[in-house]
Amino acid sequence: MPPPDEKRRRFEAIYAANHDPVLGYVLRRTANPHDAADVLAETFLTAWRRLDDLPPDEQTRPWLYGVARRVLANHRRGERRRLALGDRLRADLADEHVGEVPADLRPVAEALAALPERDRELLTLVGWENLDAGQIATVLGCSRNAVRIRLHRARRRFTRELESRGALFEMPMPEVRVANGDHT
Amino acid sequence: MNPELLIRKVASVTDEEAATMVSPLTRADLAERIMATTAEEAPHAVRPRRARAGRLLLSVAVVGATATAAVVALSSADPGQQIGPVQVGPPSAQAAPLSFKREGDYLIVTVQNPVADPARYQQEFAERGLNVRLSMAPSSPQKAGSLIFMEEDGTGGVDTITAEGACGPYACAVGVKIPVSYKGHLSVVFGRVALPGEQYDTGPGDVPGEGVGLSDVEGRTVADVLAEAARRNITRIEYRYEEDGSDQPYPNGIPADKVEQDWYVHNALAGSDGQVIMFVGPDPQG
Repeated sequence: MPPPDEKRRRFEAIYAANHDPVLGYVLRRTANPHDAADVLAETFLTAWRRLDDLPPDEQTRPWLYGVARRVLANHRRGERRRLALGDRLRADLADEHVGEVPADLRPVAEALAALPERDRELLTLVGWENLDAGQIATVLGCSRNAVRIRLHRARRRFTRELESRGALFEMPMPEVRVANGDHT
Repeated sequence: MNPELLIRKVASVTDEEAATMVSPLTRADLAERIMATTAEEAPHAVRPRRARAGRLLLSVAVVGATATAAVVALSSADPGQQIGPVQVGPPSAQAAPLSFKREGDYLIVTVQNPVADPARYQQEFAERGLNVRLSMAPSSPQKAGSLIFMEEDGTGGVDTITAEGACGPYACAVGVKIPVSYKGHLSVVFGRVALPGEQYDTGPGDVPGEGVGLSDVEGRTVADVLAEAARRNITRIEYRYEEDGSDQPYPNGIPADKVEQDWYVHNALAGSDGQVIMFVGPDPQG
């Protein structure tokens, strides 16, 4: 057990580096600000309690996503915990409204929604959280190889869904992100 | 060519946008509160919210003859009795927590002692072969007597009896109407008026401050909120300072004697042991 000060310092560093990405992860997956606040609070509470189990460096964030993922799944099953810890956060988030998908991208959102949860989860972990196969393996608790195979299939199914909607999207080449989603 | 690049464009929120949704104070507050927890403190579990809207609506129709009977029998708790903010236990074991009455094919169960230990309710149901978990959660006066939560995984046919009119801590005309043949599991939570200093437990959707027994504090003056706190016997108040999103020059909280009565309250939080933390500042918004 590290001395208390060191423990605090380590947690503070992890919290500072990961608060926004974990909040983003949660908000992209639940429209309910109360749930989002609860999930964020419980995720970091878990991190604090299990600080010694946290993997270092680039595996820290996927580990936190993995915790958030489990807490979210519990929420969806109705096993909601309300933490007094999150009260303030709940109030902050309650005022926020998440934007809508622009009309021209709606087929993309629909195709994504039509996929099985497993596929959607993989594709969004790449698309939204920018994770590689190794990091996804940490989130999902499976092997890197399994991730690669499943990802390959998920991409195929997504493309098929998109085509079945008659949407003509040119798959964008990897590029630097355009500010504010401007169209090129 | 990766479909993920398209998918990225339909993310509802970016991390950068998420970052702007949480004030620096909230961010710091959560970290501090987490680090202040001890290993033994289990996060308090909240009842599942699998209640189906249709079932919730059912409850409205049944307020009637059966409800009035229950008001008469109250717990023997002395209204002046000191009950701490945390301890919400039964004031006495004398009053039967529930009353059971057969009516045709139904069993009418009404709550006699709304501040009884929920385990006692459950035991009473169990003695009649019913798997029912009923509890009364401290709530705001508006929600007292109403159904806060219901989950039912049986064959249906269950109705709830909600209170009409006042539903104080010691009187609550609420109950359930269950088919005698009911075999499923039922879980019901009703609201009852919180005891002085007791924190509301009404689940998500509460307005800021409601969780600490002060309703809708945001934007009200310090004097106004303190008057309400005094009426509710909430005396242990700590202050945090906020101006333009900053807690300077009082990063560790502002002493009570530096807080001006005509300042504004931005938010209120439940601290430990019934203590209330109020976020205040000279402007209506922090």
